[in-house]
Parts: sequence; structure tokens; C-alpha cells
Amino acid sequence: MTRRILFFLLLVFAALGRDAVAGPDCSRPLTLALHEHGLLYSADTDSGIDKDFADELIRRSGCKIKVSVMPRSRIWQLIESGALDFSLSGITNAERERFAAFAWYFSNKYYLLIRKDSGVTRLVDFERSELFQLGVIRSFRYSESANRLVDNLLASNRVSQASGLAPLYQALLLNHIQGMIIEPFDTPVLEERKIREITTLVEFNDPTVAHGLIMSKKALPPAEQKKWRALVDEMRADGSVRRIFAKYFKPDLAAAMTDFQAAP
Amino acid sequence: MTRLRLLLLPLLILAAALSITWLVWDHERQSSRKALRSQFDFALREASSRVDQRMAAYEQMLRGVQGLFAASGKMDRHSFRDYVGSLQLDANFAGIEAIGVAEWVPAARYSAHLDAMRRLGGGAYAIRPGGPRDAFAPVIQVEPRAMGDRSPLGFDPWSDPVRRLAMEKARDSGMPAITGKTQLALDNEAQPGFVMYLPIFERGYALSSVSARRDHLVGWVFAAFRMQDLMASLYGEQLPGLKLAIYDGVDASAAALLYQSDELSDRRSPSALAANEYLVVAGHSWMLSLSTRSDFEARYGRNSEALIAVAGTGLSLLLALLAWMLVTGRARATRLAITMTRELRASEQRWGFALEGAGDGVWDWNLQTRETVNSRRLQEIVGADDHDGDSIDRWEQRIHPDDMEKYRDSMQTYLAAAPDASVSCVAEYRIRTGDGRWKWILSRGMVVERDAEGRPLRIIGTLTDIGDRKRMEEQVRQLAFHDPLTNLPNRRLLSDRLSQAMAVSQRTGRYGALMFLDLDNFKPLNDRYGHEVGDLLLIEAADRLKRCVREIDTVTRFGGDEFVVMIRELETLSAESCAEAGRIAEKIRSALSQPYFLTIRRGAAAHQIVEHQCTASIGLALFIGQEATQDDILKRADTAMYQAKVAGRDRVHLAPQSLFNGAGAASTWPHSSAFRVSAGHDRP
Repeated sequence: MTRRILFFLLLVFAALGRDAVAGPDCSRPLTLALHEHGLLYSADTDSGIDKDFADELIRRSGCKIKVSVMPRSRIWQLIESGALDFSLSGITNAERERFAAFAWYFSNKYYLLIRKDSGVTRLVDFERSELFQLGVIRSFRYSESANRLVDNLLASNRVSQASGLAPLYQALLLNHIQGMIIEPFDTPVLEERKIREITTLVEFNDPTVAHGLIMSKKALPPAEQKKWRALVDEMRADGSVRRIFAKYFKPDLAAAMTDFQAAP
Repeated sequence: MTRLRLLLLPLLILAAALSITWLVWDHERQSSRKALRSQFDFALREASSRVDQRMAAYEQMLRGVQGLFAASGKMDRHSFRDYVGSLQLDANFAGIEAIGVAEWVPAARYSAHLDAMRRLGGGAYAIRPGGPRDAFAPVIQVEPRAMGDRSPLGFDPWSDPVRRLAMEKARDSGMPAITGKTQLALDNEAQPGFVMYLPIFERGYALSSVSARRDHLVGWVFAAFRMQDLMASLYGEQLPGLKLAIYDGVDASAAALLYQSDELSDRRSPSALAANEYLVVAGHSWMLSLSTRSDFEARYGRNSEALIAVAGTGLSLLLALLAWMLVTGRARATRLAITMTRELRASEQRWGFALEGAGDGVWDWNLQTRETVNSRRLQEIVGADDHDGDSIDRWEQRIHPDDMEKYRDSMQTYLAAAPDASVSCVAEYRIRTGDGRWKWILSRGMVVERDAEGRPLRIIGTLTDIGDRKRMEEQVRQLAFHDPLTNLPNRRLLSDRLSQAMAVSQRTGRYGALMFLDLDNFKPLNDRYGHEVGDLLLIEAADRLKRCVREIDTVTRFGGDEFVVMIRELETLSAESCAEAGRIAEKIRSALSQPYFLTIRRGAAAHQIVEHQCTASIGLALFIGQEATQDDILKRADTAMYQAKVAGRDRVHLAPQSLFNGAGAASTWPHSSAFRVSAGHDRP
């Protein structure tokens, strides 16, 4: 009798355990969109942090996920509508919280890349000087003070929008814009030296901002989101995320970016 | 300083109102700009989105072509033609000039490629431009098939750096890539265009790396676009008033210009909005440049700033003016009051002077409270101690009872008359002065205030002392009707009184009598002592005559030493009346016959008393009613007097009842009359 009871309990625990570690629902093909953005993804080479992360995620989940490349603004639009399931390296704000869930896997600071010949070295100077034009990627959000800067300049018609990072670098080189907001992975591969010669970096005095897997709330029920979040946490925990970042950054920067306290 | 203080508040209000106007104007301007900006941003987003979507659609279409090769694993010309034919690239895809295939031909396969192409029917097939190169990527098929000299078959885009860049990009990424601005191989004219390439790889190989993709490259499918046509085929409408330009790359140079929506018109408003948006189209950067023309602002702006500015400024000025009027109102009213008071005072002084000069007093009666206000001069005239606050009733108590009726009549008639400012109330009456005497006054008044129904409330007037005038009038009257020597009524007054007496007699039926007297022995006195002494006698005789008759009777000096005495209201019977009249006549005769002591004054102190004896011959005639005329009666009395004279003087002779009634009834009372002079009886 006791043996039978033990056997039954074993079955129950096994079932519970399997449920707890069960992967996400792969019964339908899922979609994930990348956007061209420095080291995150480059269409020219079809490689980047996001690409690696996506590959690893797909591998671990065992799901069939169709990966495509599109502008960031289009990605947010599709995430909101539920036509797209995932994207990567997203940051949140109140508006995005309505339609997107996140699974954080790295965190970084934002910087203002300013042309040296603009004579501006501080954020306030940039905001005050009416000749300065800021280049941003449409629909991008940043850290708090960076967002404030963008909003203020937008109101005074001093922002040039772009659907990708590449034309912003070109515009900066041609002095059509005098500054742009960048993240550590925005260092362009091709023109790094040319850019570095004429620009300087100003750090926004904000805490680091967490980036993560973007999940469409419309496309994925909370239970599924939880499973995907568990998968991402697993990737962080076993050092996969850090390994990916280490491919692109120096080890200490990779560690700094991936070792952060994720919000609950 | 005061003036400055008065200006301070209106200026402050003006400043505040103008500030508010400015705030509202500025707010409106900002809002308007914001709205305009928002409209412009929307248009920019919309424009870039439309281009993005269109390019994504073309990309997808090209992926279909790529899919065809991926599915079949070979380059089948017929399948390709059918496939492109089935795409039905109508006007909806007007931008696409051609869809074609370029084959990747390394130098080693050059000859084999030429042979293969020529075998397929292109006998004259050659790779253009010619010449040895490491690799070639000639166009091997174009749909729809192009005709004539401009056939792109054999054209090697790999030889063109612009195209080659895109082809390499597409090859390495496995993604679509577009060229920069270029002229299409099909076009004779220089029209801006670009080509989109998508690589075709050998089937069955992993393509996860760049090198793998390079190794298994077969060729490219491409689509050639004319920019102008592509833009014309975009869905949706561009907002009017906007100028759209698309540049290859991020530099807005003429060389890089791919498309311009409005080449001719370059009317930019002063507040023109302009923005650039950088598009990444199939891995290539485009710059979309949008700017507003003057009509954009007119169409989408609110244009109410000018109205606010004008209306606000106008209202501010009005408000300041109003404030100035309110602030200075008191000062201006005070100034006006001072001026008016000064003028009023001057006017009062003039009037006062005029009235005082004329000797008139002024009164002001309130007919409701019946209080009166009198001027000082009025109080002097009436000799009253009363000051202001006297009443109408107390005034009326002072009016002479005989004049009261006249006063009330004139007052009531005036007050009851229709309101007419030009009419005044005039009354002459006697008033009792402070010392109890009667004084004639002339009162003129005029209503100066009436109630809503026209009833008089207040009357103002003047009071003139007319005592002197009245006395003068009395003197004139005295001179006209009296004998200046004896002060007895003269013939004119006698005639008047005789008429009255005859009228009374007619009414009462009583007889009256008329005596005609002539002094006897009068002329010698005159001759001896002169007229002055004669006059004294006449005066004495007149006194004696007056003493002999009643008050109602009349003694008249008729001329020289002739007197007429009229007796009224005798008896109703002739005989009794005759007897009564005779008695009076006799009394008169007797009184006149008494000696006269006449004092003749010579110098300041000396005088002489003359004694004279004088008698009178009296003719008496009775009359009743209007039986006879005055002349008849006088004539009868005169005749009777003459008869008395004839009869020996100092007697009374009664005239017959009527001149024509015969003289038989006449009777005479004979008496002697003589005079003597009492010389030396001078009195000191």
C-alpha cells in the first residue's frame, strides 16, 4: 500500500515538475523581428548580438520562429497589433507596458555623440543652442534625461528622424546633424575611426536602462510570457547571454552590461 | 505730479491689458505653430511611411521572384516570364520599369556563358561593356521583354560601381539591396532611377555566413525603378502645400536628387517648416526632405493671431481710456463744479447787485412746506425781524385786509394757469411793516419748479417798495381833483360826486341839494390887502364850510370866491328835504358871516391880523334821481344865488324845483352882509 502511495506521489511530482520546466507553446510558427542597429544587427553581414540571441532563443525553445528585419517603428507597431510575437533589445515605458511584456537580458547607459566642432560639451549647451540638430531613430526611447532632451528638441523642430542608424552617422559626418544618442553597441563597424575623430561622447547622468526580449501581449498570453521569460533568465543564468556579448565587447563591458539587477 | 499720479493707473491697466493680449497672442501663436507643426510631422511620417511600405511591397514582390528560383533550383526563362506575367504589373506598380535576372559569371565561365546564351537564341548576344574582367554579372533576361537598341540583355551591371555596390551588399547579406541614383539601362533620357537586387543562391546549401553566400551565388533578380513613376504610384494623398524631395544618401545636393514633387514653385513662407527624415530602404539611405509652401500655413494654420493682436490692443486702449476717465472723472467734476460755482456766484452777485441796486427784495416760497426764504433787502423793506424760515401763512397775515382779496385772486389765478415760464404773477398790495405801518409793495413771482403733473412746487419772486410811487399817484390825483389853495374838491371831482349822488338818489329816492355860494364883499379885501390875504380868507371860509356839513357831503371851490356845496341823502319828500337843506344853508350862511381874523406874515417874525366881515349869497337847488342834468342843477343853484345877490346878499335863495317850473316856489333868507377891517390887530 505504502509503495503504491509513494508511486502515485512520484507520478504527481513528476507531472508537476514537467509542467514547471515545460517549454513555451510551439504549436504555431512564431515571428521575431530584428532591426538594423550597430552591433545589435547588421543586414550587411546578417550578424549581430540580436541575431545571436535570437538563434540561441530559437534553439532552446525548440519553436519555429520566422526572423525578419524591419524598421524599429514598424516593429513596435506590429508588436502592439499582435501581428509580431517578438523582438529584441527593447526598453520599456508606460505606453509600451500596455501592449508589450519584457524579459530583461542586458542593461546599458545612453550617451550623446556630439561633433567636436559644435563647441558643445554639456547637455544643457546642446539644448540651448538653436543651431544644433539632433538625429534620432523614429520610435526609439532612451533613458529619462535623454528622453527629455529628445522631447524638448522635437517641440522646437530640432530633431531629424531616421529609420535606421546608418544615415544618422552619415548625416553626422556631413554636419547635417550635430549629435545623436547612442548605446555601446552603436559603434559602427565601418566608420568607427572617421566618427571617432570628429566626435566626443557625453554621458547621460541616468541609471542604466534594462533591455530585453519584447513580447506582444496580444499575441502571447501571460503564461507564455512567463515561460519565455524563464527561458531568457535561464540564458542569463547559464552565461549564454554574457558569452554572446563577449563576442562583441570587451569582457568587462560585456559583464557590466549583462550583470544587472532585473526589475521584477 | 498729480497729473502723473492720475495717469499711473490707466498706464498700469494699459500695460497689464497689453501684457495679457501679448500672452494670449503668444499662446495662440504657439498653439497655432504647434498645430501646424503637428500637421507637418504627420505629413512627414505619412510620406516616409508610404515610401517605406511601397518599397517593402516591391521587396516582397522581388522575394517572390527569388522564391521562384529557390523552388525550381534552376534559371528557367519560361517560368520566369510566366511568373512575371502573372504578377500583372499594371499601373499600380508603375514604378517598376523591368524585372530581370543577372547571372553571376566568373571570368572562367565567360565563354561557356556566351555560348549558352547564344544557343538560347541570342545570336548577337554579348556582354556589355566588353573587355576582360574578373567576373561578370550580365543581364540574361528582362521582363517585360524590351525591344530595339536599348535591350539590356548582356548589359553587365557588375561593371557599374553604383550597381555593383548594391549587388555585393545583396549577395553578402542575402537581403534586398538598392543602388544609389542611377540611369536605367533602358532609358534614353537621363531620368533618376534605381535598381533593387536580391541574390539567388544555389539550392541546398547553408547560407549562414558571408563566405557561404559568396560561394553559392548564382545570380540576382532585380527590379529597375523610375523614381518619378514610383512616387506617382504611391497610395494615399500628400497634403497640399507641401514640397517633397527625396535624395539619394543623406546629402541634399542636386546630383543626389531622386525626386521632387514641385519643381516649378518655390514659394516658401517666412515661417516655412522643413524637416529631413532619413530612410533606410533595402539597406540604402535615402533622405526625405519635406518643406511647407506658403499655402500650407494658410490652409492649416488658424491665422487668428492678427485678430487677437488687433482686438486685444484695441480693447486695451479702450480699457485704459475708460480707467483714465474714471480716475480723472472726480477731478474733472470738481473742476467743473468749481467753475460752475464761480460762475453761479458771479451771476448771483450780478443779480444781487442788480436787485439791490433796484432796491428790490427777493423771496423764495416752497409751496409744499409753505416755508419762505427772504433776502435781506426784503426784510429791510417790510421792516421785519424775521429771518429765513418765515412762512407763507405768516406773510399773508401781514397783508392789508382790503388788499387780501386782490392778492388771493391774482395768486390763485396765476397758480391755476397752465404752466408757462414766460408768465409771471404780479400783485400790488399793502403789507404791515414791523412798526405797524402799512406799506405799498409790488410783488412779482414766477414758478420755478413743478411736480410731474405740472403742479407748482416752488415760486421765486421780487418785492418792490412802491410807497413813493403810490404817494406820487395820490398827489397827482389830489392835484387833478382838488383846489390847491383850499384843498377842497374842484369842479371835476364835484361832477364825479354829483353823478354818484344822483345815482344814489335814484336808488334811494331821497333828495339831494346843491348850494352855489358866492362870497359877498370879498373883492375889497383882495384889493386892499392883496391876493395872499384874500387867499387866507378863502381858506378860512373853506374850513368853516367843511365844518358845517357831514362827511358824506361835498364842499367844492368852484372858482374865485365861489363855492358849491352838495348835500346828499336828504329826505324822500320835497318839502322836508327843502327844509333840511335850508337849515344847512342857513347854518353855512351864519358860519361864513362871522368875522374873519386873518394873520398876514411879514418876514420871519412880524405879522398883522386883519379882521374882515364877509357874507355869502347862497343859491340852493334840490335834485332827485336823474330828473335833471348836472348842468341843469348847477344852473338852477347859480340862478338862485344870483337872485340872492340881487335880493341884497347875505341870504339863501331856494331855486325852484325845475328851471322850467317857475320861480314862484323860491324863497329867500335875507341878511345883511358887511365887512370891516380891523387894522392894527397884528399878532406877533
